[in-house]
Amino acid sequence: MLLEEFFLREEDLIIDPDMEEIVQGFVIESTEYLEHLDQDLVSLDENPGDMELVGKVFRAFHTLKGNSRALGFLDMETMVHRTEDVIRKVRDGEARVVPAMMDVLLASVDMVKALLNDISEKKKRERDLAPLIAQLQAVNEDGPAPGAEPAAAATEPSVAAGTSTEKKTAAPTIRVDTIKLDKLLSTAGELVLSKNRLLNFTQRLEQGQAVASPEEFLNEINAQLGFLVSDMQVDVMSTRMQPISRVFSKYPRVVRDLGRETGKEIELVITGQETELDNAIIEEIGDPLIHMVRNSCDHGVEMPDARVAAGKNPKGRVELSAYYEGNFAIISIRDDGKGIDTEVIKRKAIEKKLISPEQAATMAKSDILNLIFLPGFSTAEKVTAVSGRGVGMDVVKNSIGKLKGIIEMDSEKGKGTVLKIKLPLTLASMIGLEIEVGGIRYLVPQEAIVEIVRLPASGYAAAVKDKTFLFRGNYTLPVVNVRDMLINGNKNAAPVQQGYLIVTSEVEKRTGLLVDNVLQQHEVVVKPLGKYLSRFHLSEINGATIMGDGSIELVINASVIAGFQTQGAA
Amino acid sequence: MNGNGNSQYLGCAINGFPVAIPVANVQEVFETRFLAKVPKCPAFIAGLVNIRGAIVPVLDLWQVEREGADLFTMAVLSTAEGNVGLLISRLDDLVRFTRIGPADALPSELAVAPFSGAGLDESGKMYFVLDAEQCIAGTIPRE
Repeated sequence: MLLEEFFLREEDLIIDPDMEEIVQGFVIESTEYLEHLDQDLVSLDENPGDMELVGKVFRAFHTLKGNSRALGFLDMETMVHRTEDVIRKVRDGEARVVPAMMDVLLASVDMVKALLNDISEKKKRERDLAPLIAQLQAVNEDGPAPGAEPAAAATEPSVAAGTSTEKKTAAPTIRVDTIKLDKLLSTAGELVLSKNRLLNFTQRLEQGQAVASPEEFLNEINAQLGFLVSDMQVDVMSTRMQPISRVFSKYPRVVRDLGRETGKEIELVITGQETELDNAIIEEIGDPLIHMVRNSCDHGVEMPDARVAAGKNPKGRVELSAYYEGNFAIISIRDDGKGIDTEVIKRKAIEKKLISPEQAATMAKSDILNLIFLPGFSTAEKVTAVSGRGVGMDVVKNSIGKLKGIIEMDSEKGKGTVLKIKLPLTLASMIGLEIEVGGIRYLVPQEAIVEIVRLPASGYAAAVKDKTFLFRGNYTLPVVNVRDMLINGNKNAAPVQQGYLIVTSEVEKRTGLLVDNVLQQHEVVVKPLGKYLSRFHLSEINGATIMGDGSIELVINASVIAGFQTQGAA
Repeated sequence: MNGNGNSQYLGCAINGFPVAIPVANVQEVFETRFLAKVPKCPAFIAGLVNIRGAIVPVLDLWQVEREGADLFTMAVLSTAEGNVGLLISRLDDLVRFTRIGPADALPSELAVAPFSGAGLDESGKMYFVLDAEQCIAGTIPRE
């Protein structure tokens, strides 16, 4: 080790307060570089001859090296420098990319991430770079050292790609396209102009000057302000929208590592990375999504020999895509693996007493597949480190439920499985229909409503056993009395002849929610009920909103009231 | 006798009983005509109130009799569970205690919430001292 490095190392994490902003910028920028590097290195592993990519990777390491040197983070600089040396040889045609080299390179990226994490947390931790540097040197000199295991990934599990701890190191900042900010600024400018017109008007009134047609003026300015304010709301929302690539970019690395670990060959195809979602959703969707990707690789895609035996390409394929569908974003994960055997699911569900054998005999395929989302259900024959067991899909479903999303699954035995997550584009505001139940007004999210039926409707039928149904045209609609659910706390099957049915649906199931009255639509900002009330697990309530007159109305969770979902966001 | 004589307390009345809440735990005193009811909650959760855009839960631990016409009066407590409004009958004044000690006998009407003791102010009036943090924490259902 050079003496110079040693000296600087002593104080490498004492950050000058004047430098803090610069260091913060450095952390954000480097994090982005490292995320891209993960993805690019994995691509390079698949296409070793892609010299353009080699150039890109080299430039990224080079920039990281320069930046970390400029700020005096010498550990990081050393690490990046040695890694860059390896890539430089590849760029100059003196070395070839092989998987073992990639293992060392990825381990180095992990180490750099760990060092960056220390910088971000301003904590000085002892990290032994020597073994990794030796490996890099070995790779650089004459191919990978025999029997060398990539060291960093094993000793630093907390910084492995895609783990949830990464979230904590990410700065609470987002990057916003300047075009969006310019638009926001211009709307703000127009607002000021409108305000000035209004000010001018009131001043003239105060001074007793005659004002021509004041009503007309007020109507006009009111319309203008309304227009600008809603414009501004859209603009502000748009600054919170972030591309899903921020989440997706971690997965090529995850899938590659999984493949190496399990001996499977898996190709990950990603589309729709540019799809934008609210930052709050982006922050939270990573954990459930990574679980699903791991499931697809671990339980879905078969071992190469099994795939060949089944007449498939030995290389499995997992497709991760995102796209818009109306006011929703859809994330889908499709694999061409062994699919889900509904008979196995049925058997397990009966074993675990989740359903009776009689129920199993009459269940539709989609209902059987949905059993996977029940708490404690797992079909994994053996526990693996990759996707674990038992804490699987019910947790995933709940996390997605908290983001007001829903998850659907379809699978064909021998062909593969597809999981679709449907998410609202934003959590901050929603259009809600105001309803009245027992003299209290609530809001129902508009996206939950399929149709509204005014009672008495033709063909309205009474109670069957302890449930009420509406027989309507060619279908039968189970009815839930919202008043009973929310106020009386018991399900009363007595037929009600008056009121409205809010018909809500989820995955081919429909339920009518009986309410006293339907009022009007509002666009509202939903607020959580807060820490105290969250202790009471009020799954029927999604949040609350403050109406124009200052009153509070609760937003109901139609999915829970309809009985589609037993637990949800409180 | 415990010390703590320098601390200020919010003196108030709850159904005729004098109660003191440490000022350090009180965010503000708020009055409102309306509480938004929350369904499926224990009866002691009186509802929600909008305090300058923040939605705050309000507790009625003693079936508080309202003295201020049709106004709900509450002490908004700042606790580990966030801000929580606690309905009181009437706000009296800020008080300082010359003596604080354990309460010999707590009236059964107040027994639902923890009181850390009793205090005597300069005029010799006695207050029951509410432990605000425990008071809110005690209402949370056990997991």
